[in-house]
Amino acid sequence: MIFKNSNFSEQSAWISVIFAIFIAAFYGYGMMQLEGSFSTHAEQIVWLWIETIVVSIVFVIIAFSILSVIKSKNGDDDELGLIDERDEAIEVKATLWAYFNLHFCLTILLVHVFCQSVIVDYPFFSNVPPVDFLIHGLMFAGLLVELVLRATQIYRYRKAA
Amino acid sequence: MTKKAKGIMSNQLRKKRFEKDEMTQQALAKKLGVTRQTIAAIESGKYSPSLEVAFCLADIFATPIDELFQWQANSEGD
Repeated sequence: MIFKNSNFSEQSAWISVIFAIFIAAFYGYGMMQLEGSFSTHAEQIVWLWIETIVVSIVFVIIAFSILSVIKSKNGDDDELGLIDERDEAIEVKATLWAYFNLHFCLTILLVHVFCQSVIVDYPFFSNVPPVDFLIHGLMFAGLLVELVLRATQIYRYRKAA
Repeated sequence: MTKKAKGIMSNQLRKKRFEKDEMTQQALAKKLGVTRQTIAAIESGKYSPSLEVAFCLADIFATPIDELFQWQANSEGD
């Protein structure tokens, strides 16, 4: 079991990884159902955001409630929320990787929008308007940053530091 | 010119723990205010604690810090 022999921070990281994958799938599915673009169907996209935010909140509440119930059943609930210097050191290293990832994603998004506007017959996502690409791209970039941050944390925890 | 510290840090934490009434990692973690996994990582040499934690450990085991932690510097690049 993934939760065996791990502390609260590592367990939170596992939950966040599952969260990022679940929300990406939810948002991706919602995006497929969208008709038209942001300029013509803005309310649909705004509703998708609202639904995604609500689902995120519900997911986090349920996941952490289950975690706290499991921990109190195992009798180690006094460790709940305890963050020590090793957790902080691991978070700092993971944040650095997440920052690199964010930088990379933003660069890709902006380069794509720039290329789409200046290159005739630009081959990538030519049927998606730049504003829509930016909106959805930013959402996925945020989820990818979260995924990289937590995955790096888990890797560091497994490596022990 | 800066000199980057390179070497191997070892410790006698497990030995000291057993000498102190076979204290568990959990009990030591609770005394220090860290998680049990951090104690396990320190013992296995995979994590080097901060000076504060190292001094607290020395205090708990009533032993000099250099008896608890040892540093073996790499001879390369000297």
